[in-house]
Amino acid sequence: MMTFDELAYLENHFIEEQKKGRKMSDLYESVQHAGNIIPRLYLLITVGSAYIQTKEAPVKLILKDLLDMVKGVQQPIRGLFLRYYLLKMMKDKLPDAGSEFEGPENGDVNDAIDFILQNMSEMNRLWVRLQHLSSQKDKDMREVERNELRVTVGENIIRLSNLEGLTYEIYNNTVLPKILEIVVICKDTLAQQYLMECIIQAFPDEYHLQSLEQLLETTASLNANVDIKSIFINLMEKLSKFASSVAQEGADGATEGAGSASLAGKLDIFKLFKKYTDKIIDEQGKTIDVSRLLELEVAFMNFSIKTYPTNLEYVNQILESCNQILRTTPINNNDKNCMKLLVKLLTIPLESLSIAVLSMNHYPTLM
Amino acid sequence: MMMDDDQDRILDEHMSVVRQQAFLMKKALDTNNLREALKFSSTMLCELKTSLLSPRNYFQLCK
Repeated sequence: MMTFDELAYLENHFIEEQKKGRKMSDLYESVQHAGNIIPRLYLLITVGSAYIQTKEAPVKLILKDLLDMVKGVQQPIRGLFLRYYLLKMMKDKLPDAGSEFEGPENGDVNDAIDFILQNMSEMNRLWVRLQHLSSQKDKDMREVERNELRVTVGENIIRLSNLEGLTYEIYNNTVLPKILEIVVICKDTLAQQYLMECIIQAFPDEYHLQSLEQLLETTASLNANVDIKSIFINLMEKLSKFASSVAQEGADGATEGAGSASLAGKLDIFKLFKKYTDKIIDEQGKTIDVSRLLELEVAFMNFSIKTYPTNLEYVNQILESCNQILRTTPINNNDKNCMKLLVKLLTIPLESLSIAVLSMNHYPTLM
Repeated sequence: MMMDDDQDRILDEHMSVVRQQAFLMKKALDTNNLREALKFSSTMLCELKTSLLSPRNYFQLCK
């Protein structure tokens, strides 16, 4: 029980006051007399939350006013937590589709999205700036400290992903481009890495499938230090799990395997991943450890076998890329990790395709 | 660099002010003295002005 919890007690009292006939607009006005900006804004958000619940003012106006007011705090830690409190108090009062707070005056899901995106953009900026202000002299320690606060920013993405009104169209046309813009312009390795992972984990796999190119294309604009391989691996693992669960449902007769049809059909996911993994190998092949490239290919192999179980040509193409990697950077037979990865690359196709592997020209080469 | 012991002590100090002012705030609310309650809650929230805490400890003070 700390400060935020104590404020909940106050919020309940504000609602009681209103029941006794007090006008919320008066309360909203009166807390603005607090002398210092930090207490003033925390109190304003607390009254604002009660104000929305009592429905005495249009939700979108309160949201807009609060967003304007909190701009007054620019010190990174104080600003970040003030906005974290703002999100915490407002997240169940947004005019989401089907919510009691939606309406002609209150606003709709677009207003909810707008609010979260603006808040997220500012929180990310404050979080990135935090590195310049820390009392820690040591750079690594500063990054550890910052990393501990990442969930405060990620909370915005989680809330966006839980909006009932977030259709694929809105996601693809508004939400994803805006989040990716925030990610790219911040130019911060830690933020870029974390937010990309957040996007992958938070939003539905069906959405990722359809907007995959947008996501993969963005990886080319990230900082050189961002571990793009792990972003790819997470995305592939998630999509291959999705593909096999859809295939399973199809086999059970629950659906007609619509998802896997689109996976293998009009969108050639394989080609997209191939295009961008080859790009990583081309651009980073000489600077990153060869075992990390092989890990990427192992993930790609798993993805391909699960998603396109009968497509020998795809397996062959992955093996070709592996040969390419090894031609550029020969590895030592004593490198146990790389050897283990090579064994995986050779046995994964063997398990599902058995003797057919011998028909592929790149299989013996890798052996 | 500040020692962890110092951080713990500073966090304790802030937390005890928060608890004390929250207690006074609730007491004022229970007697329907909103004016006083807002005064105590402001004092409580002033603890969040601190710049002495590490980010992790600031988080502790908030949540």
